[in-house]
Amino acid sequence: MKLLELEDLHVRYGAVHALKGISLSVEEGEIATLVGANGAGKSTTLRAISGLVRPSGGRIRFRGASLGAVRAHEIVRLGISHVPEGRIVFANLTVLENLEMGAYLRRDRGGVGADLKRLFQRFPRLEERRRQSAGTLSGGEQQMLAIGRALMARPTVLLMDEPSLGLAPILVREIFSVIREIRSQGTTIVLVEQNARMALATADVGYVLETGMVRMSDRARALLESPFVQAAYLGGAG
Amino acid sequence: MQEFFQQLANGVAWGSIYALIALGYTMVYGILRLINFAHGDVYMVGAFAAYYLAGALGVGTVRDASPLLAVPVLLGAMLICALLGVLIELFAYRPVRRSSRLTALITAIGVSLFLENAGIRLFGADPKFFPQVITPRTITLGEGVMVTNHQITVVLVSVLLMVGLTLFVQRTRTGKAMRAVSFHRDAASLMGIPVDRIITITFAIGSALAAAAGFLVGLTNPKIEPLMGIMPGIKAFVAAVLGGIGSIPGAMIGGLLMGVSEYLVVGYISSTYRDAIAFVILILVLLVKPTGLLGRNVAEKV
Repeated sequence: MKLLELEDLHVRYGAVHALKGISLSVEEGEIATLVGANGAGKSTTLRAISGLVRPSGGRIRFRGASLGAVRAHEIVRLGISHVPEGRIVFANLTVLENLEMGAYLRRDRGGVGADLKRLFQRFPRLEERRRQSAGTLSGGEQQMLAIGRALMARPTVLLMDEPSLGLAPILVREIFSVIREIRSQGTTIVLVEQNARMALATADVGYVLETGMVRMSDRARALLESPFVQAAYLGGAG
Repeated sequence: MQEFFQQLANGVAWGSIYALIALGYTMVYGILRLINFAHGDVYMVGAFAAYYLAGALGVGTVRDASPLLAVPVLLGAMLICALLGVLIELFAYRPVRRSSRLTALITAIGVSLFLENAGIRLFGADPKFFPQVITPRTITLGEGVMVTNHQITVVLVSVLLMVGLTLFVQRTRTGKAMRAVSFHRDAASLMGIPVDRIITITFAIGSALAAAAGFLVGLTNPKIEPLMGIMPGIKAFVAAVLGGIGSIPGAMIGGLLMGVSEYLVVGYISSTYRDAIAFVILILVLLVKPTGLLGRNVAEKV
């Protein structure tokens, strides 16, 4: 069964028609990526799924149920977490408090503690800095924190908006290996990226967005080899 | 020197009251970027709530009654104002939350005028004498500095409330959520934090602190009237700006500094300029350090 389905989704910001009928579907356990230029509607699509913007038309279904009237903070409870563009860690909170906020809705203290321990094993830098305010972290550390914070909610689906943005190449590779790890633990991922090559190489399926519409969709590997995608998004011959 | 310490003592007591009011300004600003100009009037309602509660409970009629009888009066007034704050947020501010800042500001001024005039209508325009819920006593500290047990109560209750607030904001899940919401509302809702409820709680707490200030001011300056909130409201706002608006410790420090500078002006210059010092401080802060003493330098969010 499709885990997450978007059907003819429209979003308007005032006079701007940002999404003009996006349809896509994500299977459980896979990585779907949305690639495309600035302003193509990638972030808006994620923001609509997580309830930050209200669609003006169309449907979003999660496990077959419509998310139409569900508010952002309730969508998290259903199992969808969103790592926002620009990370937006709570700079005025400590690293540990940020992670606690990620687990805001969870009542199983033991489980939260165990998840925290595992997270700190995976990201020892965060453990070293757990009492520091998150604003003092480097960009890469903040991105790890933003991802860790979203994982603390134990999501079924993780929406990731430009996780590699502004990071050094070595950190970009690190982020993508983290993404693969998260998937290998059974979490479904919707990944928005400008780094189309890395995204398509990592994902199972890909959608190419242009001006608020899906221009192409296919298996990610096929898109990677498509002459159109190569010319428009991968900088010619790869 | 004695004069200095005397004015310092008076200033600390009076400044504690400013600090309590300033906390409400700063908390609401931190979370909504809104200057809640009705906040000084909530403080006035707090004083009247305490006045009527004391009357209803018969507190303050018997000389030398236990000062503990004042506790239910204080808590009752805080509860009433917490409720008032929630209603203000729900019916006045929430409907305009997505509108421009100017709309919200004008709404705040409207709520302020509403409370003042409703106060005149309900309580009468004439000043009322706040009951002596704690029998006054004067205590001489060393060097001939004299304080009243009322002033000591003011400082103790304020410190207790501020410590409680700090622990709440730093340690509890809801307090941390408040800080998260004040940093970034959307990011907070992505954590599953119910932003609307957190905003409501913020108004409730800020208003309860204002009510405590209203009660405490009734103790030390027992003349209360429906327009009593205007000047302290403005001064507490200046105190919040001085401390760095949005910063909780900043509001506490700003309030104390404001009270102390006011009494130093009274002691060394003239009581005529007592109110002017607030505006001098405001102008200086805006000129020299607009973010205030502990304010974060945040870029305006678009």
